Amino acid sequence: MGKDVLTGIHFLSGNHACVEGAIAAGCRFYAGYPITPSNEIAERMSARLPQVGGIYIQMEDELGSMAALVGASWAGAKPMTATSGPGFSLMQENLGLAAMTETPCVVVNVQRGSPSTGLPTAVGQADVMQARWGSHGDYEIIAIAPSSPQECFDFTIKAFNLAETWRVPVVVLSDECVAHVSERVLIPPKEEIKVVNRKRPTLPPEKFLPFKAGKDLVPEMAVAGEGYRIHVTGLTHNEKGYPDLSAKTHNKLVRRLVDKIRKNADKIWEYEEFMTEDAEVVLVTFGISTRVCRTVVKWARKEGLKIGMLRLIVVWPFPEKRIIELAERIKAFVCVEINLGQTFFEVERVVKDRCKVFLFPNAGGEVHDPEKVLAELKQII
Amino acid sequence: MGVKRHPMGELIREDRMPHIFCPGCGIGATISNIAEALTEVKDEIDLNKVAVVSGIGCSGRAAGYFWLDGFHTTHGRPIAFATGLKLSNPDLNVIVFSGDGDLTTIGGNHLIHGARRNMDLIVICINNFNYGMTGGQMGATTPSHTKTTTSIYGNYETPFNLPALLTACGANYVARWTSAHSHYIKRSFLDALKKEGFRFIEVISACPVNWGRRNKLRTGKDMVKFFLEHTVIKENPDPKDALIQMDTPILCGVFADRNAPGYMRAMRECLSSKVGISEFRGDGKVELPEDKEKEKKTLEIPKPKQIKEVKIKLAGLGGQGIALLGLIIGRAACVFDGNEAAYTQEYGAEARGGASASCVIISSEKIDFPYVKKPDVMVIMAQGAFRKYRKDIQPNSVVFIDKDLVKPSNLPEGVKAYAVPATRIAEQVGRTVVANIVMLGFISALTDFFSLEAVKAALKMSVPKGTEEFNLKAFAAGYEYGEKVKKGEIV
Ligand code: SF4
Repeated sequence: MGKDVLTGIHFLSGNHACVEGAIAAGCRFYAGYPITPSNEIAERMSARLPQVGGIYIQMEDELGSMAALVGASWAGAKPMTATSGPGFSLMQENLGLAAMTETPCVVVNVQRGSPSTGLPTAVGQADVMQARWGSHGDYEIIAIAPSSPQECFDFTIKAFNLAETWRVPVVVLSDECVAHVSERVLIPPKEEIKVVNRKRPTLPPEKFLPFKAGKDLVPEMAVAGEGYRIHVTGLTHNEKGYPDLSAKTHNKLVRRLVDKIRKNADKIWEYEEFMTEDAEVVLVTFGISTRVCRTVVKWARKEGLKIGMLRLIVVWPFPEKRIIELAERIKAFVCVEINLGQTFFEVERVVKDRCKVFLFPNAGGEVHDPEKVLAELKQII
Repeated sequence: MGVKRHPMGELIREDRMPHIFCPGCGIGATISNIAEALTEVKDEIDLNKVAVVSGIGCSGRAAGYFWLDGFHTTHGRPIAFATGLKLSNPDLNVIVFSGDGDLTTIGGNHLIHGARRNMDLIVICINNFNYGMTGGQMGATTPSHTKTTTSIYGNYETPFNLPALLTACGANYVARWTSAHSHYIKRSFLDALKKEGFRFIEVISACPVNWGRRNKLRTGKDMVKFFLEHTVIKENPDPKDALIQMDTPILCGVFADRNAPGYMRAMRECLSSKVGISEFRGDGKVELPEDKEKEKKTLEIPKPKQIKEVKIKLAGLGGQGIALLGLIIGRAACVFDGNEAAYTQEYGAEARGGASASCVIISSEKIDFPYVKKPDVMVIMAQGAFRKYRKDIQPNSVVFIDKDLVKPSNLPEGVKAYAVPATRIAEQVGRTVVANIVMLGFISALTDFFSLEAVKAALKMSVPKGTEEFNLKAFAAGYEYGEKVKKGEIV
């Protein structure tokens, strides 16, 4: 055995590649509940985790899956679950607990057509805002959106590294299309895969304050069974981890939870630009729609149109700085996403009056037709 | 931590005193009982490896008072949380300490499934008949006809009989006591500690402030008196007699005491021999044996064979192996020929039974848009599939069909059709299920979408172990037929 990193050239679906990425990143705990179109992740996990001495547990629902993830992380695991819209809704309760208790964990949300039961077997990208605001209250998480099986592998590793670095839940915003397309996936040798682990206590138990953060605003993490006798609560808590329901402590805590992402955003942002150097119109996109946009940009360039693409790799935190820089010199942004306006409103918020912002909406069920996108583009240029 | 320890036990967080419980409340007493019991065995078990998990409610605060690793989680979820904790570090003794509303009402699903799985947890369920923390509302354990703030005319629902429920679900240990039975609680807890699996101890607990005062039991003293006078403790009590009613005694005792394998043991017993590993845990601390099969894997992608981009659509009926056919083609092109390939499958309810299709694009360039709108090549294995997908056949494209199963009609202009009796040949080879592989051989002979070595390598990799030779035989038969068609020996 020893089959934790399957070094080699593979032909894998996005969902299967996610699993290999997770295991390569050190994930040994998966709790989940079956839901289309994420099932191939659970199925492969149930086969693969036992081979590496890990735990696969099929929970009774997504409420319990997410709670089990938080528990697992506090026992030292790097936990993951995968789901889709309806299940993601149920997970919001304990995603909030994970945010409040600064628990590293990874949730793969394979987006499908929504709302409600919607289109179980067809694509959607309408959970962008839910990933950001789905649980109640002020908090910040990180979301990352792959557009191919190779990226499902690479970005799932990144997701674990980000979760461990910043002690937040990280959402892999996959979608039905990325999940089900099979392509070449290159799995490098174990030594070449960068794996980050959470900061561990540098002080002995009697001096350690589990929720006192350093300059990066991220506290060191002790877990159960190490003699630290930690107390972890979803209530507002002080640096010791004890409940303290004063407005003062609440402000200090919640501001730090938010600031640790907002103030470190420049270390987290990641995006890809394609032909933006001289672009007059820039398509803003993510996930599977990236591939539609890249096609459109190539076609448009052949016709001499100055179109470029800004593709969000990290969707949350939103790359405000880069959007502003581009807005200063381009004529318009066009948001291409499989929803009726989600990152679009973010772009509008950030751009203000610097340039125009358009949306090419699509309620889901299929990806945008590149020919139609190009035709519509020509109308607004 | 520089904090003076409580003489009763080292196990109470004194820096969190005073606690939030009302005078006369039974929760504090039960916390003390558990702390005392743990103190008694502190030389036998490592207290650094005992964790307490609570949910929300008065009893939910318990995790915050034990001087142990403590987790105060979300409403109803402590058993699910504890499941993650225990499975990730099986060295921990995990105790769930929470209330009836939390564990049995909002968390009822986790409770029954925890018991069904025989998850290795001890669950202390404080049953005070109501939601104390929020002011005394009724819940799934409120005895019939009693009053709460949301049942002021009397509760007309029937409460859970928890010993019966938990016993039926498969918990290894089920007991019930009242908060007036300190000695029994301690002993019961110590018995449970020695066992594996799901261990459930219900403690009927005094809540004079919210439940008692609305039901003529105003003080803690009244409630203790009531418990002592209205309980019977029996040896081997029958769970079905354990429903709590105000006019009959509360039945206490040990309702189940079994030694069925706990979850961890059941998991190990099933998996160990199959995967060659004897320990499973979520925290990654399992040493993995050397990978004996590990060969020096080359990561060099073969130099792409230049081909013009080709879009292939494959259609057939469920069970014809259309998906596998597409996968093998994709694998051949991209793993072994060094080209790019994108394989997609048509999903949808109909894909489960009737005609379905999958598509492969092969190109020496990177593929941006992975979907096929106008296929250059169609492979059709059944008449039903032909009916459904005829609309996709493009003028001047190439079509491969199963000669016996597909009778093409109304083909667009300039279509070149190649026909092979794939299913018949498969039958001759031995089994009709390999008709898809016969078709693969046929296509290989007539096109240069992928090399022969590549497709054979991909085939061997994609079929079940032990069937490689058989599949290669089917492939060869299809290939041979294709060669004959190419040479014009068959039309
Ligand atoms: S409300 Fe009832 S259960 Fe809650 S602390 Fe007071 S007496 Fe105890």
